[in-house]
Amino acid sequence: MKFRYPLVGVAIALLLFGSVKLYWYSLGTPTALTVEPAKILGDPQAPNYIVVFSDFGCPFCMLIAPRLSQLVKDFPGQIKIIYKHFPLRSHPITVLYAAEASECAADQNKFWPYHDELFNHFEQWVTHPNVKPFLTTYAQNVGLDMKTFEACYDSGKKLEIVKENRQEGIGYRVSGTPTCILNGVKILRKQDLESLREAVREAIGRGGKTL
Amino acid sequence: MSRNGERLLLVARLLVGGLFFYSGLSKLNRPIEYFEIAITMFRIAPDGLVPVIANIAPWAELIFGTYLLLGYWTKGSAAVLTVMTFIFQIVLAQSLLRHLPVDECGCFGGGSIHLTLYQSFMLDTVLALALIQIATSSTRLFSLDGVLLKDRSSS
Repeated sequence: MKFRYPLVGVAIALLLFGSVKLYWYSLGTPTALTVEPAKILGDPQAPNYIVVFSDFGCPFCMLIAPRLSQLVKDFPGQIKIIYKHFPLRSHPITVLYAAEASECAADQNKFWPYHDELFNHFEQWVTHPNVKPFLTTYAQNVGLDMKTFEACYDSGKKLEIVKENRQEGIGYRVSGTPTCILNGVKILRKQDLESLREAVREAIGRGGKTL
Repeated sequence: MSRNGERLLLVARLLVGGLFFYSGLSKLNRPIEYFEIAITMFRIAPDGLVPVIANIAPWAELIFGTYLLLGYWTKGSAAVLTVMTFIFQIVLAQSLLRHLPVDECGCFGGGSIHLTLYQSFMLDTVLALALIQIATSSTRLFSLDGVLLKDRSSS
């Protein structure tokens, strides 16, 4: 029985390894992402895509937003950006309200200008106890029909879409923001503009991929 | 060692083992790329080495943390974790000295414990002291070693 001691160690390690793998397996395989046309930046027919799981209360998301817009300008007709909400639980509830408001803006085809407003004024609203006046002001700034916007926001009906987006992210093993998925492959570490350009060039070279 | 000393060491073993177990698990239950980001922010490891570290370190924490919790290969596990803790301390110290803009150490992955660099450095100091005590003592109170090695010596 001289091998019993090391065998116990190997068994414990294998049990741990198996449990972690089982956990990942239990999450299932990622399902196809839904595409909401109003939340696409760039040519919807572009052969390459970046899905960005983002949170309006996340400073890094604020930093990456203009880089993604720049990619659309740098590679016209080649890349589209698809926005997905991934409000982090560690952030104030205001990020959820902002995501809902942005969905109301999307109804009026003003998602992206509203998205920019939210990020540009990030520090004003994110920790404010009364966020609605800010969200309303930004809606006015981008020229939304205010009656429709307020009715939409007050109804709370957009919360479901935000939750669905988040659930899609969980399916894709997203647990932080911003998470960019270029043609199905996560880009997490190198998110500076030059690295993103390089990644897009490579993706274009490979011929693109549909969602 | 006195009975009270043994009990104290048992508590330390369980706490330290539990902490490493949690730390490893919280990194492994989310995509490993997030831990890669945390490592990258410390700007110490070459790019090619980051995925290697990100893939090995959480498993080492989980396995040796569990060994320590169960009291299996106690001295060896404590020695391995001591070395890891010293490496963490070097990484944290250089980040503090270089004033790197890292708000949170990322030591617990996506878990609910969030520590600043200074807090993690202090925690690692306490852990290193406890681990050295565990690695250099021969107590086998409530441990697998106590069961397995006693059987071996009697057979």
